Formats: sequence, C-alpha cells, structure tokens
Amino acid sequence: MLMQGITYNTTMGLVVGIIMILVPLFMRATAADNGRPIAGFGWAFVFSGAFLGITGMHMTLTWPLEQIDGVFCCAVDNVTFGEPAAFYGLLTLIAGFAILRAEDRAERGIRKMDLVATLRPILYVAAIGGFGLILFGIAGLHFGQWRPPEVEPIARLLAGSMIEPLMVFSMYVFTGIAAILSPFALTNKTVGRAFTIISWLFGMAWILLGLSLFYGHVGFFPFPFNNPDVMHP
Amino acid sequence: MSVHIGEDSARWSSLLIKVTWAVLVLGVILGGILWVVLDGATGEDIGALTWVITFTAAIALMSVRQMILAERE
Repeated sequence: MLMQGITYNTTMGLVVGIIMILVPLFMRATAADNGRPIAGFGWAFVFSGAFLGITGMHMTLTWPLEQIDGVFCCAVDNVTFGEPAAFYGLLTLIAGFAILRAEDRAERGIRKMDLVATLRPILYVAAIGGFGLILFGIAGLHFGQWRPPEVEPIARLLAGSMIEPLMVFSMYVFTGIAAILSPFALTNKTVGRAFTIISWLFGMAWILLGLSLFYGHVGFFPFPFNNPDVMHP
Repeated sequence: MSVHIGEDSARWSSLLIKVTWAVLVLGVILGGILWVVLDGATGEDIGALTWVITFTAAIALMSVRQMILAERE
C-alpha cells in the first residue's frame, strides 16, 4: 500500500483541459477548409492523449491507496481520476493517429479525407464513457470526495463550503455531456454549437483546477511545509 | 502558407493579444501584492489563486483568438 495519495493529477488535469479546448479549435480549423494541413492537431492529440493515457493507466493499476488523515480524497483516486484519464487519454491518442493517417492517405491520393467517417466511431466510444463520467460526478458529490482538504494550499480557502464540490461535480457531469454530444457534433450544427461551448467552458474549468494543483499539491503532503507560520526544519 | 482573414477577425485578434498582455501583467502584480500584504497562509493562498486565475484567463483569451483565426493566419 502506498503511504501517500497520488499527487500527479496536476498535469493530468491540465491536459484534460487542453484536450477539451483543442477539440473546438480543431473543429473550427477543419470547418474553415482553407487547405492548410491538420497534422499539427493530430500530433497535439497524440502527445496529450499519450500523456493522459499513460499516467491514467498507471494510476488505474496502482491499488490500493491509503486514506490520508484529514482529507476526503485519495483512497479512490485510481478510480475517479485514473480510469477516465486512461479511457479518454488512449482514445485521444488513437484519434490523433487516425487524423494523421486520414490526412496522409488524402495527400497521397488514396482516399478523399472524410473526418466524420474517421472520427465518429471513436466518438461513439467517448459518448458511452460520458455516462460513466456523469455518475462519477454524482458519486463524488454524494460521498464527499470533491470536498477540498483543509490542509491543501488554495483549496483550503474553500474548506467547509459547497463551492468546490459543486464545481468538480459540474466539471465531471458537463465533460460527460460533451462526450455524449461529440459523435453528433460533427453533422448537426445546433449540437455542434452546444458541444463547442460546453467543451471550451469546462475545458477552461479543468485548466483552472489543474493550474491550482500545481501550487497546492506541492504544499499538500510534506507537513509542515504547507504552513508558512511553522518554521521549516 | 498564409490565408487571408477578414478585417473584423484581424481587429479582434490584435485586440485580444493586447488584452492578454494586460491581464498577465496586472494579475501577476496583483497576486504579488496580495501575497505580501495579506497575513499568513491565507494571504499566500489568495496570492497564488490570483496567479492561477490570471494564467487561466490568458489561456482563455488566446484560445478565443485562435478560434477566431481558425488557423487562417
């Protein structure tokens, strides 16, 4: 059993947000249809998907985790953070390679570029996973996992209030909704618009949370370093 | 390869860069002031949170700019 909870969901949270704002940017760039290559987006999805998939898979397979005194997280981090990260990270990685391959074949005149046919089956998988994200959001709120630890820098500002639990709940639920909408966003304008707004807005929320962890998680575990009123040894 | 963009898009993209710089400079200074002026751990947390919000706002503004440009520049 590990003596410490997983702290490396810093960059993982940031990468989730990056993927969620990259998708609308990718959709805009392909809709502009200006003849410029889209391989850059493909490689961006390969990198971010690989990072999230590998760390998520490691987190998923690291079990059991020890509950840490005074905080409400950690014992099920591998389930609530690791599994969605592995699932959507690997899916993003595959989507990146699919985009690269589709463009390569189009450039070589083998087959006309068809992003809908290329990506939609992958997005069906994403959509089904979206329902799981919604349930994670509800479970974390109900069982108290989204409460901010009283010892974590920045997060402790919200200790005792429902702001952070509701924020994390809505991030999971709306990320799930964005995933469910994604296969239909390619062909339906209204769904596409709703998907773009939800994906961008909650992608930014993941980036906000991820960046706060870059400070908070460094000061979280090594007591008493997270308390400036106590002299460091 | 450069693709022509409309006048409105060009104006907005230029404005968004300036706003992003302003947000970054003001946010970093404000965070530093809050860190120093407010007492103890709460002051440090609020200062750090101000920087986090500043960096997130800069990312949001630049992503909107990229959305407007749609890789046409």
